[in-house]
Amino acid sequence: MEFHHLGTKKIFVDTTTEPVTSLEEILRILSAKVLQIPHGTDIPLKSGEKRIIENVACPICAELCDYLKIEITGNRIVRNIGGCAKSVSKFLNYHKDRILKPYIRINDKLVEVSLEEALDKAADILVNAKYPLIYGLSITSVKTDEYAIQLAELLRGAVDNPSTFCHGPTSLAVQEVGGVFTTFSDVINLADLVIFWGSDPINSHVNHLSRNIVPKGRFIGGRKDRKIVVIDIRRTELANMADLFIQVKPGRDVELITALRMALHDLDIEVDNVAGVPRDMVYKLADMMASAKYGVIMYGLGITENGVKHRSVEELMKLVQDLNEYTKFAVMPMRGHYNVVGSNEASLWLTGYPYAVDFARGFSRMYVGVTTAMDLLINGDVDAALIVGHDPVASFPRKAVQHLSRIPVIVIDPKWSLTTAFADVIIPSGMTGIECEGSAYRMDKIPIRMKKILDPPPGVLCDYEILKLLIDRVINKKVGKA
Amino acid sequence: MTQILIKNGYVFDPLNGIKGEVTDIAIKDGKIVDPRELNPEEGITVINASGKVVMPGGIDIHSHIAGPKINIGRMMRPEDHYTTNKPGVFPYIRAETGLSTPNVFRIGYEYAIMGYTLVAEPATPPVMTRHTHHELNAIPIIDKMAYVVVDSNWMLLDLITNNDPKLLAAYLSWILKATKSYALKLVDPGSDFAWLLQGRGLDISDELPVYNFTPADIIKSIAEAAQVLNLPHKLHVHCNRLGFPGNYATTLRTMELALNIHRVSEGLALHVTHVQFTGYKGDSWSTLESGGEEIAKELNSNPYVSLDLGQAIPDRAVTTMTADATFQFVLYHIMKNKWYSSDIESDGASGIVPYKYKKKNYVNTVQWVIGLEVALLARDISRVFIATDHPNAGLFTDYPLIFAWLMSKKARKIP
Amino acid sequence: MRMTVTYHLRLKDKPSVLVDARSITPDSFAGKQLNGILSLRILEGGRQITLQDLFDVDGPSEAPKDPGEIAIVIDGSINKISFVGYKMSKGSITINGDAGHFIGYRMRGGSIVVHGNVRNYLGAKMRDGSIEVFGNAEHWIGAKLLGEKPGKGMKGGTIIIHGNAGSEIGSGMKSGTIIIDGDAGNSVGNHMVGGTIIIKGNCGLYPGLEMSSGRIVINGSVEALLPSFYVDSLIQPLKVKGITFNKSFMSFIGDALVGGHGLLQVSYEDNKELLEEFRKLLE
Repeated sequence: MEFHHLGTKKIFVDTTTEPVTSLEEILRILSAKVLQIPHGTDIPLKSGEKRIIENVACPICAELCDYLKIEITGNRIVRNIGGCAKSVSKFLNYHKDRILKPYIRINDKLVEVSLEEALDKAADILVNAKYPLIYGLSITSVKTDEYAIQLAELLRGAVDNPSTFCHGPTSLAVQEVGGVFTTFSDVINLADLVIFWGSDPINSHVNHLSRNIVPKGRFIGGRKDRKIVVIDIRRTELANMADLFIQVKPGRDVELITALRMALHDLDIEVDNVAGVPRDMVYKLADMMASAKYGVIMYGLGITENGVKHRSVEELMKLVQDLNEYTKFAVMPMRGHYNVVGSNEASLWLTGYPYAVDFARGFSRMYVGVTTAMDLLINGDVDAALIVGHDPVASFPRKAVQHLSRIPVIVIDPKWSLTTAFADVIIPSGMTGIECEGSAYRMDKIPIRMKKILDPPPGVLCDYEILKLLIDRVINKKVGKA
Repeated sequence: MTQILIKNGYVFDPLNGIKGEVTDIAIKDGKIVDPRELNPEEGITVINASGKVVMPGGIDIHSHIAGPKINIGRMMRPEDHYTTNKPGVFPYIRAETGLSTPNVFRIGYEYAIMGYTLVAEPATPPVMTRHTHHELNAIPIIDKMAYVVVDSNWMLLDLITNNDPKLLAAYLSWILKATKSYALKLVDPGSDFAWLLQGRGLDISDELPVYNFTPADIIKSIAEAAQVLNLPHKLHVHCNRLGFPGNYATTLRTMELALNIHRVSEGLALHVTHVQFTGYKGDSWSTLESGGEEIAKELNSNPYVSLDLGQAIPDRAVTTMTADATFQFVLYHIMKNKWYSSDIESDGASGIVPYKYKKKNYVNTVQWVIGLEVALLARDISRVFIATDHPNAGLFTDYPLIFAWLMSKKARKIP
Repeated sequence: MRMTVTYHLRLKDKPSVLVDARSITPDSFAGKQLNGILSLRILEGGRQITLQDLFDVDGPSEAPKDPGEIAIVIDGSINKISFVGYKMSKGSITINGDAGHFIGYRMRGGSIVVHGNVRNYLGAKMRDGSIEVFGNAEHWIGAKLLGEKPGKGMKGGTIIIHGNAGSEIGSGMKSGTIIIDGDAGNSVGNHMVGGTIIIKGNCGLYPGLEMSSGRIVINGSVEALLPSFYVDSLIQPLKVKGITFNKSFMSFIGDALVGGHGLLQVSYEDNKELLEEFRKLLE
């Protein structure tokens, strides 16, 4: 098999004769603390009374589809109507690979303990740490976020959420210049030009197109009345259904944004070719944008995580601000986890900063590159970690993961993950949106109520309840020490 | 059972005409009672208030303390947080940060220190009110409430078109219930709809795009629905053309509407908010004059309206944030710095721009005068509320300054 | 002649977490007894400790009143000791080893020399004085903090890095000089309103993004330039801050989007492919 990647380099993918790497081997390579994870820990299913629960919000991505119909018999979820494949899989397999008991690590074994013991050990770790990091918070409700931030403040540690490696640059751009944002309803009812820039909802936010682009709005027809432009580094699946596809050199989006702004400002563009896009095409696109009635740029990690990161988003915000001199134009960041926006929002109202908040001096501080979780872990700047509802080992760089193997780690999660193999204490939690309720924020900052449709397994608490217990214990221990 | 006895303070109670009498106040189970009702056997917490004033908690009826735009203001202004911190005290006092975009803890603590006990967040879009409640819940100590923004809601505009007042009242009642809000708010009525569709604002008698009625009709219809629903605070109006020279005429016409509506319930019919921003006389910024006198005259002759000042505070860096997206767009062109705008689920739109009032700026000086002029010329001060439209014209922590300006001619002299 | 006294700080145990050592400045040593210096407050992570918990200190029993007469030498430092030289006005600090973040943050005078690598925000928001680093430095050198207006970055003084440096060098700087002997990262000198940045090695993407004034000189190759910079001329040789480069440079004026008249000068020989188009424009 051969395909073009990044325009120039060719990558060959061939079948291999080597044996498949086992989980144990992967954990060994990552230098995990525990190589054996307990098996066969599904929640036992019992059939029973059939129930259909309507308007359930989906705890997967920041699209937060809140119109699912979930059919349940007993404690078995049998059907998910309205959800995408990811959603169906999450609901129907909610019972699989669950952590059902608290564990603590003794040498290289995980040992089942009572919740009391686990909380006690966790509180000991946190109180004895000089500078603990609390990380996660995007796959849970804002209530949990609030408690986690309170805990970080009590411990004078740092607290961060996954925007640190996805849409953090969006927040940084807003810090620098502001921005012009919009919501789904406005897109459905008004948008006649939708530009997908460095984003591919077909794969990331599966229902996004059928929900926002296809439907007829009040002041605009359906898909046929909307122009769709795709700007990406390669011809994505989405590009095939677009009215215009513009291929831009990888990491060079800022050049195109700058050229578009120059076209709007009536400045000469001297070069013939901007980031792989011919000059005429730049003028054409600028024209198209300025003459739209209501335009929206839906951008993804292609913008936020390219060469100059937050400066790319900053320039995009400026472009949209400039476009508002001509017409109505806005951006919509295609956020990832279902409550990553909520973790930013809760952090803002409690600390004034959206992520990467540090309480070393007793008040909140945010310095990108200093208090960001990735920098803290890669450079070994923290001496304990509490991971709430997230799997950093699966997504962090190797050096950061290695530090997790050197420091005590507490994991609060509903399911077994790679991170649990790095844990010294594991406390099981209910799944928000299925077993626990709360609020989550859609990518356009609309708060959505996450429903509780089933009880958590016996003895398992929701993560905010666990954090509350942990806070009480930390206060008692610190007061005791003093 | 909690029993509290506040002893020997100078007690002020305007409702009961008590003006500085030295007496004791007894509280039992959260209610003020006759001191004889306290039972010493159950334990009484005694507070010695001698030499101090004992008065009812202050009420701020217009201060942007919670909701999506406040939070975006916080995000947009990290520079407001870098040097304005106060560390928490373990384990229960939380860290404070921010001046014009304070975090929830500073809001609660500072209001409590000023003696305020109830604060109203004046603009929450219905679909975002879940967020507003999250923030309100996080504010410590004080009581909070919110007004829900209903002016550019499409469903509501349809109901006004269909001329079905009963259904309109029922819809508004549902919105209030569903969003758990206290009152109805109109922000630059109809303008957000025009902004969404055409990127422009409206004056009170301009016709809305698509619909064939005017902002005046919106105010009238909703004010009448509020009469039917007998709401305690009927209608909170942020007038059209806010921030444009000459807009005092629009404010006067908005206030006059209170006389013309069909009144079936008691009390005030309309509250006109932050009149400073809508009290500009003159054709342009360079010919700007105060319309405060005219507004005060209208207030004195019209018994159905109340107002708050939106008092501008000189030399104060603020973060302007309103659901009036049109005006914020204009302000962005004046400031040429940061600008945030968001359209919210077709219910409305909002804008945020950092700003600074300067003592030596002519326009800012006129703005300072307008608020004071209205308050000083008003005859019935129970219908005039002191506010800075925090954090738009000043901060809520500036209220003591305003009290001083209103009570002392000396304090009003610009140094 | 002025006498200089030296305080030797030797690291005892390597800290396992970030250390906020903003009290290590000649200004906070000045006029103190040795005991007072030993008990200066340091933050280890979120915990308060004293200077003597972290360092063995050698020096006179009483420090002079004038910080200009104080030299501080730190031995065996690791990359976790941050905020050294915070707001210092006079005197000198020498770090024999690596240093952490915010070295010389808001510095007002004096000198800092680091014989090792430093991390982010070196000399951020500094007003005057000099910083010399013999190793590498990371991002945000002489920068403003996020959200602040352009011009709130470095306001004066000199920063010299003998190794390589990261991104966002001189972001929002107003005046002063930054010289990088090695390579630099992306968006060098963004939002600059004055001052000079000299990169003797190669440079990443988009130097001068949104700069309105000031000067950026790049002696090596550049990954990409913004179209909002207009080509002005070819110069040879180039003289800047007493340094002469004996090769041809192409001068650009920008960033046009902010109506800027900043000077961006890029080595022509090292970027022939990238600059070929502009050379044609010049002809």
